[in-house]
Formats: sequence, structure tokens, C-alpha cells
Amino acid sequence: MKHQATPLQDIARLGNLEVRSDELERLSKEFDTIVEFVGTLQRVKAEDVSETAVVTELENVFREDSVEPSLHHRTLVEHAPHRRGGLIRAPGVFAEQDNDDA
Amino acid sequence: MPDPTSLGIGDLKEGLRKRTFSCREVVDAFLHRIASDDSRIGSFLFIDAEGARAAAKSLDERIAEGGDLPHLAGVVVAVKDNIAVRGMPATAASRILEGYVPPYEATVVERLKRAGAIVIGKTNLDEFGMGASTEQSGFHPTANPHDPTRVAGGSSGGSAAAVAAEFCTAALGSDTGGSVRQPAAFCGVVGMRPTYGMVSRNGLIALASSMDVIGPLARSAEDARSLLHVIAGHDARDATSLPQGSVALAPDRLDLKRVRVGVPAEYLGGRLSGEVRAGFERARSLLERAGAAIIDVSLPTTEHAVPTYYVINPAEASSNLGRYDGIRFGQPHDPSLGHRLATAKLRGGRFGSEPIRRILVGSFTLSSGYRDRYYHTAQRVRTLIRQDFVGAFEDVDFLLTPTTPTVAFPLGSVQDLLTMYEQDVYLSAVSLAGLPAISLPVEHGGGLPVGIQLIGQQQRDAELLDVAESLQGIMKDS
Repeated sequence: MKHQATPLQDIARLGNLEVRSDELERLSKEFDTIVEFVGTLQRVKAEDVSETAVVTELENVFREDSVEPSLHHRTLVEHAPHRRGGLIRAPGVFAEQDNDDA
Repeated sequence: MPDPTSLGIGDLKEGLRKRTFSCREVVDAFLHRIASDDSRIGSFLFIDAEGARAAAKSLDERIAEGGDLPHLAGVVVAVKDNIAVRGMPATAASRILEGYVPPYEATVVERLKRAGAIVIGKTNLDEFGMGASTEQSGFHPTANPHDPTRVAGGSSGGSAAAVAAEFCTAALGSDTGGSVRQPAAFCGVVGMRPTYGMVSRNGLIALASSMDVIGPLARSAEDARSLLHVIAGHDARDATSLPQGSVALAPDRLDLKRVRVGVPAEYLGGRLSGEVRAGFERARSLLERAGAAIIDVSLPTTEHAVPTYYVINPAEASSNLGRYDGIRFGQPHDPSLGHRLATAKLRGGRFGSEPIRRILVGSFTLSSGYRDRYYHTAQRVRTLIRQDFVGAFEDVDFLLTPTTPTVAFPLGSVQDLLTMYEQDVYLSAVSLAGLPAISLPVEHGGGLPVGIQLIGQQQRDAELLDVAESLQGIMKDS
């Protein structure tokens, strides 16, 4: 089974990515190639096998709940490309411009 | 004065101790070499001449005062540009991070500096570590110092080329699916991937977090050990850091007669080129002559390693790359647009082709309706791959394989995606299993470098280095 049910533009939206229309055909082809390649894993008999997410068997690493020296917030805010009054300026989530993108 | 650029760490320290040369002279010799040769190699993205000279000056003052020198005093290192060094840009060779200077230092860099190492600059890579040739850098490709019409390998191509071209004594790279070992093999240097969790990832720009490790590139296994000794060890700032990770400085005297080396049949298949096979056979026969038991083993899941890797890597990468939205750092978003358009436009315009492909594939394989078919299946196959290694290590102590199927290929010659992905055919299973592995250069009677890979068991990095040093010793003598 291939992915055709999901157009590439919809997947790009999941990845928060604008794909230029002149790149769509090439990317679709490459995407199909990769998905077909990794699809070969369907042939492996692994239904009853447990999954591996962590290779060293560590889990739930906590530290003491105590104050430690860290970077000053001002240093971090200064990295933001758009700022106002010592704060990070973010684009509006409900801005008008997004309506046609919905 | 002997040329300090060609010396290993031991000889360099000896020269400094005897005042044959000063740290300042060492740094100047490397800077001179970089200035005259790097325009044709392209290994660096940033060079900090002033900072390196200042660090050298303060070390020279310490040497003049007498007293003990720290372990890596005067060792000039280059650092892959996906690792944070305070005051230097960290772009991961991506246009989306162009101009970004991190406000903190990676744990590994902190430890290197504390041990007296001098960071001379930041090296090129495939964007975010995604590639096997350093042609996918957002800035420029890196050429192979042994033949500048060929690739350096990747993604730590800049670091491997810098060590090979004698622009530094050693370097740091990162290895997710083979990115230290493969360029090391192509450039004729030593490159080691430590056990996952042995070296802190704090300050490493994340690609695929369950596989990312930082590892050394150097002229010898002995030098790789020197670096690993300094950078390994628990770090509270990385939640996956192993509680007892350390690598002894002095090698254990290893009796090769008591070592069992496994050779997996699946790693010697049809795609292996004649020159790499010749190098591999030489390493195998040298080990055999030294008394090691060579045992045939089988790793039947080998053929599934690259497809498994290319599900898990894009899945984790698409999540990790989600943070690049132009809001908190990096290149700016367009403030006249709303959130979705502003960030999507920035990302679509600034990410290169390979990150875009991986974000698409990762978003797809994690999406509702496909997650089990792709992502969870890959995680199950990953278990089988681990179990293969566990089974093999019941009968042997180490595994010996070629590092790559071929020698370095010509720049621009691999256009096919899957052919590029298959570069890591002998490397990605080790990454998925979290094992330590080291690539060593081996003579094979031909022109371009060939690497062989020794694979060890988890957290037995020191033993892996013991056998690597022994093998390098007998290769030198033969």
C-alpha cells in the first residue's frame, strides 16, 4: 500500500512546512521512493516482538528539586529575532493571514 | 622545530614539555596550514584564530611557571558545527541557524577546555547531520584531502577532513547512523562511536535523539582514547547519560590470543568493493596471525537495518526540527504573517532538501493511521536487530566488518537517494543497537583510504579501544 491517500501538501502541513509548487513533483517522487523503501519492513515477522525506544534501559531520570545556576532569561530573550520591551514577539496564532491556509 | 601539525597527542605533549615548541607555535602552525589549504578542502565553517591564540598564550604561561599540565594541554581540536562552543556560531550547516551563536557550551567542549584542549574552529557537516558525503551542507561541500575531487564522507566530513589534512590534532564529530565512522574511513583517520549515553549530548543539536552520540576523530586509536577519556562520563544535563560511563586512559594489556573476533557474513556481500575487501582481509589475517580466534557469525537482520533507520531517524528528526520556527532564536520569521504561515514559510525556505524530506517522511510515519504500520513496526524490528547482536556476543568478544562498501566516491556522483542511504549499510545497525564501534584505517595496497570497523559490547568502550590499539600496533609493525 502506498501513501496516496494522503496528499503531500497535507503531510507538509503536519510538518509545518511550506512546499513550493515547483518542488512538489520532485518531493512527491522522492517521498514515494523512501516510503516504498521503508515499507519493506512489513515483510519482517515482528508482530509479537516488543518495541525498542531506549537502548540502555534507563528510565525516569530525575534530579533533586533544587535551585541551580542557569542562564539569565535576558540572555535567552536576546536571541529572539523579534522582540518588544524585553519580551519575545511571536506571530499571532489567530492572525487573519492564516485564514486562506486553512 | 619539527612540524607539530603531523604529531599525535603523545608526541605533541612531549614537544611542549621539552619546550621544543610552544602552544602558540602549535596553534600558528595549524592556522597557517588552514589558511593555505582549506580553500580547496572546505572543512571549516568558522575559524577562531584569536581565541585559539589567546588560549595558547595562557597555556604557555602555565608551562613557563612549571607544574603539571592538564591531560590535553595544547591539543588543538576542531568541533563539528552541531556542537555548541560558547562565542562561536553553531549552524549545524543549516541556513535556518545562520548567524546563531549559542549562549552556552556543550558539556563535551567544557570538558575538553578544562583538560587544556584548544578549540580552533567549527567544522562542516551535512545539514543537521543528515547525509553521508557533506555535500548536503547548507553552505559548501567538503572535499577529501586524499583526492579533492572526491567526498570526505559525512556527516562529520569537515571534522574527518580537518584531521586528515592536519588542520588540527583531533576533532569531535557526532554519529547518529554512521556519521563519525564513515567519514573517518573515507579520510583515512580513526573515528569512534561510543556507547549510547557514554558521552553527554548536552549542547549537541539533536537529530535523532535515541541514536545521537558525540565521538572523537583522531590520528590513532590511542588519541581517540585520550579524547574519549576526557569527554565521557555522567552528566546530569543529559537525561540519557549513563550513570557510570568512563573510559580508562591507559590501555589494558590485551592478549590477542584470548580474543574472539566475529565476522558477520552479511557484511561481506556483493556490494563490497575489491579494495575495501582487500583492506578487510588484511585486518582479519593480521588478527588471526596474532592469535585471535576468528569466528564466522550471522546477523540475519542486517538487511533491515537501513530501512529501520530511515523510519526512526525521520520520525525523531521531524520532532526535533519542530523547534526551528524563527521565534526564539535563529533566522527570523516574517512578522507580517500569522503563526502557521510565518513559520511554514521560514522552514520551507531555509531548510535544505534532506531536512525537508525527513520532516515529510517523519510526519507521515508518525501520523494517525500510519504510525503502527511504519513507526511501531520499525521499533519492533529494532528489537530484533539488538537481539542479533546479543546472540553474536555470546560467542565472540568483538565483531570485525568493513566500515563502508567502497572508498570515497567522486563529488556529485551519487544522485540517487537510496544509494546515498545505503552508504551506512554496515553502520546503522550498530547505531540502532546503541553499541560502541570504531573505524580504523587499513593499508590495502591501493590509493584511497579504506576503513575497517570493530564493534564492541555496550559500555565496553575501553576494551574496544584496547583491541583497536593492539590491531593498529600490529598493522604498523607488519
